[in-house]
Amino acid sequence: MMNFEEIITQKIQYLNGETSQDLDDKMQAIVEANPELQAEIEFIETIWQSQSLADDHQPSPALDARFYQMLSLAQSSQSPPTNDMIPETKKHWLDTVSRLFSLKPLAQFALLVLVFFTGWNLNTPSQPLVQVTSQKLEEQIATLNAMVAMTMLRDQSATERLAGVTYSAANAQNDTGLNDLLLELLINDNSSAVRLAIVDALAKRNNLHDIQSKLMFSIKKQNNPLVQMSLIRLAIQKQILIDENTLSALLNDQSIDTDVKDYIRENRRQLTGRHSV
Amino acid sequence: MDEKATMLKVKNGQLGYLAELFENNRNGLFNFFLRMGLNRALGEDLVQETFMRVLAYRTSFKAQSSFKAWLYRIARNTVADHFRKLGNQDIHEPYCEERIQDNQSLADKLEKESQQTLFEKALASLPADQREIIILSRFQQFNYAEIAELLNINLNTLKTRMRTAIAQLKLQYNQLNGKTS
Repeated sequence: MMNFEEIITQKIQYLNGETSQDLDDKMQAIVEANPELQAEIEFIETIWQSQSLADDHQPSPALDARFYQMLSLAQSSQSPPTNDMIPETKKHWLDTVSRLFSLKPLAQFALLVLVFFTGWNLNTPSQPLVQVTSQKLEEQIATLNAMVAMTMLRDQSATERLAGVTYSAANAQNDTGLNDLLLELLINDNSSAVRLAIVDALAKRNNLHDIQSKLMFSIKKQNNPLVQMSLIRLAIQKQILIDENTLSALLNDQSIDTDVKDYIRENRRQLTGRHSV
Repeated sequence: MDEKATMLKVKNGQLGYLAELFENNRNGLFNFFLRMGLNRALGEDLVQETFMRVLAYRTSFKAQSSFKAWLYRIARNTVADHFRKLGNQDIHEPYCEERIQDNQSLADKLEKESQQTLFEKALASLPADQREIIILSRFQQFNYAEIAELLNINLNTLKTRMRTAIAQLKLQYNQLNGKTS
């Protein structure tokens, strides 16, 4: 005997367009003989056929911007670079990203304040006072920039934290507290996009030797092969040497992706500096 | 080109094709997260994280199932990981926006609300596993075989669960609508 689940399944498959066969006469007779089942079938028809229930919400444009930033980072991490770049029609998103994440107005305002006070002080007779004032202002602006960046980096939204990474790279590279926070996020942030952006930001710095041990430690903490790969690439790019023991530990680490291990093996000589011996 | 073929190109290193998959699935995935009870900001974060994982684990795409089924498997794991990090044992429970306690008073309050609002509230009041089955079938256009595969259950179990979920949804909907059953 046919059970009620089969009839409900048939109805839903029909309403979903999986089959062109609605309930047959036998099923229909069962439905009509069971008021409870009939009410369920009518409810299913109401829910499945109501167009207003299927109205979708639109995500914000920031989601697109973040995705294309991530894709761009991933493509630039590919070696060698391929011609398979982002489609032309999407390239404008990268411009949007830089506009969204640059937060230039704040920095421009800070610069304006600096210029104003410097100019004002230059018109005063005491030259040493000008230098002291100017230096203090620069320090205050640097502190302000670091505070803004840290506030953004501690935000609950990954979008805001991404903006914080970009802002810190552009405006506050030398703040120790900020650098510590970036390294902490590189290990603990739940968004791979944020961690990738941090690696990208670090890659633009001239000197990473003071944080190289923390960087290498963070590789083992990554659960995303893209971030693992980016960190290895960063080590190669910045000539951060990894000793043989650490490298062997990475190669034996179960949490490191196979592709990443292959990449480490391919670049082992460069990573350990043995090619220069 | 179908999505499976597109994903195979991504798997083979032509990463630009991921944009096409993102454009096709972004809204569906975002609304899946919203209907599962996440807020907009978190929904967007998890869409981003899901596609990040698609990129990271592209080499594990076997093309045995559809790209969509694979994508939603990753999406479900992404949500689970997110709540595991927050320390919730039951990963789904935080999604439940409300449970209907006082049927009559709620029905009075909601008398003038639209069918859509009532439906959304009734859906949100369901346990997450029941809610997910209805969302996957009604809104994400998964067929029974795909849902069964995604949830790792057999077809008969799914049919039973679907009927239970619909009965529960109907009950909640009618209570919100001021009907007795």
